[in-house]
Amino acid sequence: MAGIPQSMASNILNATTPTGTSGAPGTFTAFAGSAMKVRLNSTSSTASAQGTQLTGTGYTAGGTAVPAASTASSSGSNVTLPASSALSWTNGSGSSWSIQSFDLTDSAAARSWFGDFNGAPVSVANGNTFQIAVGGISIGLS
Amino acid sequence: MSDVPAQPPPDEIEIGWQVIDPDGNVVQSGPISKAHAAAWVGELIEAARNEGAQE
Repeated sequence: MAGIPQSMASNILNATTPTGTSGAPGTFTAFAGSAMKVRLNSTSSTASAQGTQLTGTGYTAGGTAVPAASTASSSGSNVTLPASSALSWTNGSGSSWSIQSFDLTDSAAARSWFGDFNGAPVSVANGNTFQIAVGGISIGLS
Repeated sequence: MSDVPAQPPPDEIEIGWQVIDPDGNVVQSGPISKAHAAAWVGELIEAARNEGAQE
């Protein structure tokens, strides 16, 4: 299961329908202006709630910022991330990580998209590294 | 002339994530993970339409 959280769905709907003053489009609630983050969870995220975040050495609460700008969507194409370099987390927690899902958030932890990893749960033994390849996450509205 | 399948062979599937051991060996990998919203947004729009029709 993958998609967008309820807050984001309402944001899109309100900004593209006549919910604003006198029937004008409503206002899109902008995300924070710094680099977005990928958050890793040991359980599935849902439309109403994010999953349980990983813990322990090697993982920083809130997730890791993407390294660069993704190519913008055009003609309805998907947006992929991360751009330019992989995202990596080396498990130093002392026990295995079980990685189920991700959330894409802004720098202030507001959620925009979520999804399970294909093949989840991914077991990452202590000392091993979990890596999301360049373009390893593809996000679409079609 | 036979029909050729459109999809690539399995060894050309792009890797979305991987687990690497301390020696740099890939011990596990998986295809790209996709987040799609269309169905979800469609449901919301339909629900809003139905709500509007009842008012």
